[in-house]
Amino acid sequence: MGTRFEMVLAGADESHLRAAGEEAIAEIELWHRRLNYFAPDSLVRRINTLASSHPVAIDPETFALLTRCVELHDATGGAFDITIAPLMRTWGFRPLAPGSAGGLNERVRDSRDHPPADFGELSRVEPGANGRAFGTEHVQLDAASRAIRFTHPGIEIDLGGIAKGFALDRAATLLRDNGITCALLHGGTSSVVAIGAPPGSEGWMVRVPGAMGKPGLPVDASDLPDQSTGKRGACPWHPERGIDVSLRDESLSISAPHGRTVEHNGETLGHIIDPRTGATARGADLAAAVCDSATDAEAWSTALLVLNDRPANLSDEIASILYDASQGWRIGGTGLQARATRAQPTMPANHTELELRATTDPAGESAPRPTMEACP
Amino acid sequence: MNKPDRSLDRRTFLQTATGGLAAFAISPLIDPLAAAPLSRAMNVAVIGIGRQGRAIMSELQKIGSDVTIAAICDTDDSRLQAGLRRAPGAEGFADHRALLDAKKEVSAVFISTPTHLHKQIALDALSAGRHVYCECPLAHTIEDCAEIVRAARSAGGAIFQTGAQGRANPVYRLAWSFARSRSIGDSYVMVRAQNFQKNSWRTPANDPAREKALNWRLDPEVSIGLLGENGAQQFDVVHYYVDKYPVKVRGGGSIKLWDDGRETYDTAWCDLVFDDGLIFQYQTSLANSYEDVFEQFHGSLGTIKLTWSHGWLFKEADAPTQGWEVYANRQQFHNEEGITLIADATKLAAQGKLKEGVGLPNDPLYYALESFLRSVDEGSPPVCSADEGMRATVVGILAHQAAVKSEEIAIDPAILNV
Repeated sequence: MGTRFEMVLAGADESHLRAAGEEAIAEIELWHRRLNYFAPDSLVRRINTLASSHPVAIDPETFALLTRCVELHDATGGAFDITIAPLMRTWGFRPLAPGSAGGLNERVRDSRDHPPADFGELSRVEPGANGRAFGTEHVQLDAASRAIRFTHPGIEIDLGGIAKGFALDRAATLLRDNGITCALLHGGTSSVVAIGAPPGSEGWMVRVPGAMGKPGLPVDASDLPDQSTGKRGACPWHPERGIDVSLRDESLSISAPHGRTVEHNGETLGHIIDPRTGATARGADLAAAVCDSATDAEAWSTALLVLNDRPANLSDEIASILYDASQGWRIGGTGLQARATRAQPTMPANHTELELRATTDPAGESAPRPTMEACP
Repeated sequence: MNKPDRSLDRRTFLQTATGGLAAFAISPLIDPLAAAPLSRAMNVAVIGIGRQGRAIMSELQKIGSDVTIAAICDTDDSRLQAGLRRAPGAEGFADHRALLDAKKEVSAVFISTPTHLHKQIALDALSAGRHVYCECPLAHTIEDCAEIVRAARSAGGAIFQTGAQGRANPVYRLAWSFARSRSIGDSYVMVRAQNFQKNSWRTPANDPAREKALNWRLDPEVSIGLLGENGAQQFDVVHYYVDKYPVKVRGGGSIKLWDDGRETYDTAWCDLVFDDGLIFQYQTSLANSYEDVFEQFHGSLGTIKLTWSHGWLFKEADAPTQGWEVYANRQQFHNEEGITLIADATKLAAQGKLKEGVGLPNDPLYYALESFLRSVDEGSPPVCSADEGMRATVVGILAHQAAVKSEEIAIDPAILNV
């Protein structure tokens, strides 16, 4: 995951908060070690090394995560896909994984400086039964033996697009198990989990920044539309300043293509790949999703960016935010306007706030991602 | 978009898998440290579902379908429920005796409770005919250690393994062979080790009534402090390498960061002295995490540094060169160049994958658990016996006492032999 995790916990007993926070950080570190695409001793490396040859038995939690990844792949119409690491490398967005089984990387020219002209070049390389040399279709999960195998040589899974959210979910579960009722956790400022709400407030206020690459500016009360109309999309936002979202027992994730780019034929291409075509996604400048779980929110924020639209069949319970210069903000889902609030957190004097931080191994650091900000 | 057929039936899955295994046999791949399957399926139980218990469960689940976690036990219900979420199908118990009575199919138990509770659980499990893997340190008193050793010796065919992981670690075993072949000299010049981890050492307790029980490591009545809890694991590594035990210990400590009312040190040190004058210096702290955990064995011809997942050999300028070094993988550390110690390097080199073998592919705990299960399966001696676990633990207890009293304590060899 190679990023910084931070959490703020509120409660009466600082010792208890710290102990619970340390367990949560240990949990995040555990999943970082297990799901790290780059580390030689990670479970993902083990799977990538062996699963093309034979089934690899894995623990129930990782199996559940991979099962969810497959479900999300189907739910997003293939816009979220955990097998695109070879594409990422081919486009030059990812360094070669040390000890990688090779896959496309060894068969396609090292294209860091020379991205392929089109996806056709990739698809001609030893395609599988589906005509593609990558794809979640090549990942098989056997629930009875709790094992994973790949049906095509060179397939790799890279959970970089979802591991952070999953680790945050696991950490949040531990915090709740330990009696924490008020906390905010984030990973790399692009995924956030809210537990409860700050005392005196209806939710944790998080700002999705405005125009691409610009930090969010403080929202003035005069910017806020009248929420009494119940009109969809009526939440505090400003084209330049961003959207403030109030989260309570929910998660928000944000994706944008501009964190890492390559120059190709005089054009700047962002690092979000459309797994359906193999090309870089073009359209929205930013996408965010609010879901019950950070795992789902991470997958959906990426998928929304790829799709550049809210799918018609997407549950209303999943809130979506899309922004691009030509269409401005597009907000969907019935929940978001209810979440938007002007309430500002206030802390009673007898409450303790504790901040904890951890930085996972920066090796293989993922692309810088857009940041959310805690609202003033 | 066509929906992929990901719902292959189990038969097809296994048929394809068999093809994969055949390919594996033809092309000796990639994973020389992978465990061979056990000869029989085994039901096991984990007693104590704190952080270490959860780690044990996680590693057991990686070992494969031969091993089923059939039961787990914890007196704390929230921990028990969290454990059950991680082990679908396991039965939960609040009392270890009830587990031993009810789950006759459980042949082996893993004890990861607070240290001072190990003894009774180990004795009950051994008397119930179960194989026992008990976390290190074995106990919080010398007397309890001795009782465990006696019980393990009289347990008939039951295997007892102390959870000191160094002796099962492939990198440590490889480095040990280098040390034994005098690669760093005829004898050790100095041994140094540390365990630095920045955390409060506290466990969250939802129920204030459980605070004392859950934070037993901070309770001077039962805690053997950092030197006992962290040290014992590493003291066993030193015993393994040096092949002898210290004859005296001096130590000290203080509270440098976590001044939250605790009485146990958050930073401590000890010097263990051997009969030939060899000094083993050990430091441990909760106030700083620089360089984490390591052991260093210094000889006149070189130094071996071990960090649980990695190992290196640093040669002195006047050390003789051996032929294999030409092909060795190396890493630079400021002004020093270390030869990476890679487990099963010959196999990996034959596959042209030597660099990929740097670092263990699994957590060190995995190898300790796997070696225990193999001992149970084959009836072979455990890599770390109750006797060796007792010696590491007793040295840890005495180091803790020396630090608390700020004095030197002589270690009577008789105390290390039950």
